Amino acid sequence: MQVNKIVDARGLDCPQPVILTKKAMDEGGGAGRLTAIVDRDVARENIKRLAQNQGYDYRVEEKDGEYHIHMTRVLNKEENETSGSGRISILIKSDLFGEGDEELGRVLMKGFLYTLNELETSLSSLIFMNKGIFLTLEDSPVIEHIQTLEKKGIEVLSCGTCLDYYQKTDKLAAGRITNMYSALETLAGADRTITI
Amino acid sequence: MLREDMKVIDIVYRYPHTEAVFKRYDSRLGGCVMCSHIFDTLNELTKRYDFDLAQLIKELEEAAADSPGIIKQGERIDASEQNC
Repeated sequence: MQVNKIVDARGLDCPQPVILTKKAMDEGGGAGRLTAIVDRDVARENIKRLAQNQGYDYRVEEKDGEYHIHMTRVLNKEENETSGSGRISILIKSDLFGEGDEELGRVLMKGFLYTLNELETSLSSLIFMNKGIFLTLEDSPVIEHIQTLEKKGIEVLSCGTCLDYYQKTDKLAAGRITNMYSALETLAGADRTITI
Repeated sequence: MLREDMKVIDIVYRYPHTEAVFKRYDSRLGGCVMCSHIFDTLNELTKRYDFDLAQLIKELEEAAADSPGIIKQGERIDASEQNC
């Protein structure tokens, strides 16, 4: 039976809640279950992000103004090969789906993101690079689909260098900005990746 | 020892005394560095707020030298090891 470690970080200032949680993860050898208890929104958000980065599934429970973040280590790649599940990360490099006619590419991309919302998948993150970042902007024709995916807990990441290059940083309307380091880390941590 | 592509969390985790350095920068950006940017790299942080990267690394390395640290004996700090 797996032991559920408790990290009581109530009343602690940043960065202690996230540091203590990371320490507990490392001491556990990256395995098992863990619950962090915090009473500040920023600590809750940072621990959620740490859990995502470290390959943990998490669930947040609110109790009397406190947050209990229950984290469970996701099975590693070898374990998942036998279970058939696993986290999927999708890298989107263009605002069009495939090569060829641009209008068709736009229609197919819209259909792709709509279908992602309809299907039950193990999708964990969408990473937008180069012209793909145009899909996460406020005037994107698919922004609603992406925002819906984000509300379902799927991590939406847009390349900061690309937003800067196209001068669209202030137009971002879904997810958060990432860098190549974090994007690669997310892709490498996924069990399966799809490139569009 | 410290590199611009290392993240705030990894630096503070390995060298606890560096926390004080980041706190010194709170007033300069008008908020809490370690609340909002704990997953940022030093390069991202300094570019965003126009801090001097070399100066920040110098201050962090001085603090790191005094840190008890949790680094294991014989372990080297390298960006390729960073895992969060």
